Amino acid sequence: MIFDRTGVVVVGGGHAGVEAALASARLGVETVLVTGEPAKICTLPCNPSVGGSAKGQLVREIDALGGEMGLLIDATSVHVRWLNESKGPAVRALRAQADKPAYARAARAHLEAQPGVTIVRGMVDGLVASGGAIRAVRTEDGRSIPARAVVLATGTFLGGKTFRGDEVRAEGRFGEAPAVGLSGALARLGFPLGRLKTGTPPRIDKTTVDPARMAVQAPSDVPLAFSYRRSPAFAGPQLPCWITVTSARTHALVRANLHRSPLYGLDLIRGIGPRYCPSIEDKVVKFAHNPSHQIFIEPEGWDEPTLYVGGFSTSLPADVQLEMLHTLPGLEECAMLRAGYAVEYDFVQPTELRHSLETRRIENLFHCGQLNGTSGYEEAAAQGLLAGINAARRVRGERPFLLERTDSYVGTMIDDLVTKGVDEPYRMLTSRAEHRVLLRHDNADLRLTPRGRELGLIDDRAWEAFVARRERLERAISGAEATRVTEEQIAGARLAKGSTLADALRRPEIGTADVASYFPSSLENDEPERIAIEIKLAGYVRRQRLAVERAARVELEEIPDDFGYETIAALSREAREKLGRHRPRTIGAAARIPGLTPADVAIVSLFVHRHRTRREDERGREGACA
Amino acid sequence: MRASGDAARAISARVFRSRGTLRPRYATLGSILDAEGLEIDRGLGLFFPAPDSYTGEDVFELHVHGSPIVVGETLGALLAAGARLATPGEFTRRAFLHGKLDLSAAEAVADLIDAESRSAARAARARLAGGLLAAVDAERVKLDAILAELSGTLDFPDEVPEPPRERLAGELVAIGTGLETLARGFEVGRLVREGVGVAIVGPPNAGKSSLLNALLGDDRALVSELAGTTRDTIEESFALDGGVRVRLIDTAGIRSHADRLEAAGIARSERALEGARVALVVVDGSRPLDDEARALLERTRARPRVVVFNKRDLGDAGYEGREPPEKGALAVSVLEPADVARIRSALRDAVGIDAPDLERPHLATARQADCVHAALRALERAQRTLDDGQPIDLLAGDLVEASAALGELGGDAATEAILDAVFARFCIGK
Ligand SMILES: Cc1cc2nc3c(=O)[nH]c(=O)nc-3n(C[C@H](O)[C@H](O)[C@H](O)COP(=O)(O)OP(=O)(O)OC[C@H]3O[C@@H](n4cnc5c(N)ncnc54)[C@H](O)[C@@H]3O)c2cc1C
Ligand SMILES: Nc1nc2c(ncn2[C@@H]2O[C@H](COP(=O)(O)OP(=O)(O)OP(=O)(O)O)[C@@H](O)[C@H]2O)c(=O)[nH]1
Ligand SMILES: [Mg+2]
Repeated sequence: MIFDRTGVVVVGGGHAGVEAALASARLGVETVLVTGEPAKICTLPCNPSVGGSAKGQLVREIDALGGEMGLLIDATSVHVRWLNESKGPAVRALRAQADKPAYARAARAHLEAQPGVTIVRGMVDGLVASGGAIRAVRTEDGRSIPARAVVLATGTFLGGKTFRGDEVRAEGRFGEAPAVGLSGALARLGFPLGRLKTGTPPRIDKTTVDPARMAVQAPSDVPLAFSYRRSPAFAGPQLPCWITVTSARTHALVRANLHRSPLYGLDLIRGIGPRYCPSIEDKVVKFAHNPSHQIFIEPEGWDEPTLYVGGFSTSLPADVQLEMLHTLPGLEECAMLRAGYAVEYDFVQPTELRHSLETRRIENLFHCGQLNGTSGYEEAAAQGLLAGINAARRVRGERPFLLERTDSYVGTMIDDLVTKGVDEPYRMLTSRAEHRVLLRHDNADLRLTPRGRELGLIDDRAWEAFVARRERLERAISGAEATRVTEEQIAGARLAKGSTLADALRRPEIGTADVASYFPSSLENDEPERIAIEIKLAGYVRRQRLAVERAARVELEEIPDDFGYETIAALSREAREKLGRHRPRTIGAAARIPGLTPADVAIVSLFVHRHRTRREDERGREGACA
Repeated sequence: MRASGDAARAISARVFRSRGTLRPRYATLGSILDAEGLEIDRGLGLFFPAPDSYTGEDVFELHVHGSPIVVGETLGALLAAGARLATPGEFTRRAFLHGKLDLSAAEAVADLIDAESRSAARAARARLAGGLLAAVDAERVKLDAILAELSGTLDFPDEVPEPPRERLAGELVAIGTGLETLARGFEVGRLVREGVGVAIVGPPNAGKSSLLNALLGDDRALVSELAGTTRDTIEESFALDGGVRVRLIDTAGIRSHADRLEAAGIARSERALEGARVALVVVDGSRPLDDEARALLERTRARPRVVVFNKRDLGDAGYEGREPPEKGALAVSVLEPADVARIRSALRDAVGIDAPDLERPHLATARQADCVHAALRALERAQRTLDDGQPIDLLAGDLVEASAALGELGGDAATEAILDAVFARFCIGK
């Protein structure tokens, strides 16, 4: 194979790597995806679900920008439903359960159909850099692949170790070899590495459970879709999920066997695990007062023999796992097909990165996904998309594409990562998005599709559909202010004479369905609901916008990359160090660095101005000479 | 005092009333009003429309008497009208951002900001170390517990149930009450820090300076049998029993026929009287009250005061042998230590702050009060959101603001605190 035309090399075919490779190739750059096991591309190694609170917003944003995840899950979901429907439009989100093999196959097919992507089997263990820039990657079998930019998307594989009881194996995840040399290569380039852990629950035989003993969670009976580029349709028959619970018997078993746990008794694991995804051991030990915990039983596909036991992540020995499963109502007789395990892996502190996800240390080298200390498919995919875009733009000599906290969850996540760093696996949460009233699941297209189009990731068909949709929505919103409703009472709410559709929708009691007949018939899918949300939230949105605009002047004020904090005597030494370490991109990012005072930030702002004005002066003088 | 920004004009309308409208860049005399619309003081108001102002934004300036009381109350009125306190150097930063400052000026300011902020931060930490931090934290912990529950149910809907709205409403009311108590404490805190102003006023020769000396236990002020001895105000500070500090201000005797120099002194007396929290009115009780003494007694009737009919050793013609006519007035001789002790104790009552008040946590600075007011405003919005039947997510947004405002007092980041609470309280995760 000849690689001499290669622009971008993506290392790792997980959720991050796939988005990166597709985006890069779509921007017209020859792209090679090197991955350990091409058959495992886009595996879902843990839970079968995509989306959910905050993660659903990420999937929508990926889709709005022209990424793949929404299309993949829409084509392969066995169960979709809304979360948080009654809790507020800004936190509403879709969650889908994927048919795991179908999802991975779809991802592989999209990659293979994409001109400009070459898939290469191999494990990368060396990075070749010179002159402060990345030049090539080397594989374990001695090949060298030259690249103008490299995207690392290696997931849980760096120095990966799996644990189950006292069994410790060198694995990136169960049954797959870890990446051995790459951690060392990164360390030699000066990257500080840390260690994190996560875990997965056992899988059981779906023919051996008794659904009658569990509560059913039904999927939506109307088709729902993540992607804006596809009309909602069922991907296949929709399957239920179930809920069961642990009991004192389960907890007693956990306690009795803690001495056999690699985390507790055996003390083998040093990596820090996610708080939002505790193992059943953690739940029993740290929440000893809870008499019982909910356990979620989820299908992994239409034809998959397994069920996923959500909430039951464990690294106890397999025999204990089976005994514990048998204490759960409905699972008394279940057969365990695969035991749960924990995995520990290296990550690189994301404070090493710019907002473009390029490393500060090595030019043209990009990091994304779990390598950055995040966890979750959606978090990985979103970073992959950004890294792929920016690697390709680098090769094309274009300015980086950046998202902000004020325009997206993706921007919020990246800003969190690169300015604060991580000390536990990072998961996207709605509470991290201070502007979430603006950053809704429903309006991701309005926020980001024009950006995706500018990038070149939205094709003409999708763009025309978007423009038409935007016009329909705008027209219907102004129309709602003129349409009179005839009833005087709707859904228990009294309406003044002459009330308009908009007046009615402003009442919290009145929902879209209550006034469905007043919407123009030209609206499609969820559009009436989107209009209702815009109208209901208008006051909150206005307030949030104002706050954003006010903050934006300072927030978005850029700090030059080479800005010399050392020379500002007015800053305390501590502040100088912190700023030097975090290198905030904007004054707003500086303000979020823990431990900096408003005065520190004011001082930086002053000096940034001076810096800029001087440069302009110099440029002015040069101009005068020429 | 200066307010800058889009709301400056609206704020000026709320706190300042003058006969005509404010003409741009002209000083106008008018009344400074508190939140209830009552006059705090008279002063000069100036309005500078953007961009021709110090900061380049709409700017409203108020020039008031220097008394810390008037300044404090005016500040309170501005905050109540929707202003917030500038962060250190914020005016300058804004000025700079709008291209209003040259560089050398900006650099000088940066150095200043630095010095000031460091000493202010030290002082703030010291103040917060005590009960105040605990009191603020107590409310914040309650807020964060609600937020943890809301974030929990929003981010982990399968695992954390939505809290009942009636319970939330009750909890918000309780927090609001706690915050209001804290906000009210701001007033006490300021008095504690700056001292309670007590102006000794009265006709010439009534014995005002003698009283000052007696209370201080020191011959601080000149005393003579000549009327008009004191020409300028004298301020001294001393502690009442129980530890409340008093700023005692001796003034020139007030009378209408005075020479020009004396008239200037009398003008100062008037101002001291206006600015003080408590009036200590001294009249000569051994002689019939003249019109001016009567007028003074009348004028001070509505405010916290102590009235003494002095020189009782010389007679009681001022009240013709009956009890002093003014309710609660004391017949004394300031030359008599036992009488001075009675005056002290009457003063303590009039000041109205006691030792237990001092031990309660108080907001010491206007910045702290600002934070609490911001929290209260956000809390009110949250209550409205809840009352209107809006979804709980919107409630969470308001509460985050409230918590952040309180967090600013203690100086830590809100999001992280709430997330910590989520994970500490709920067992979450699949
Ligand atoms: C046991 C386990 C439990 C998990 N539990 C959860 C959970 O509960 N909740 C949650 O949100 N997330 C969980 N995850 C994480 C989730 O799977 C990941 O966050 C997500 O898949 C990360 O995507 P990624 O693209 O960064 O990497 P991955 O999906 O890990 O993909 C990495 C890819 O890179 C390839 N690769 C690695 N190193 C090299 C190399 N040197 N050269 C070539 N190819 C390489 C691998 O073969 C693999 O295909 C879990 C993962 C595991 C393994
Ligand atoms: N006998 C007697 N003389 C007093 C008493 N109090 C004050 N005097 C005298 O009254 C005179 C005036 O006292 P000052 O304290 O100077 O009075 P003042 O009110 O400060 O006067 P001005 O400063 O001129 O306004 C002095 O001679 C005092 O000694 C008192 O209780 N009894
Ligand atoms: Mg005197």
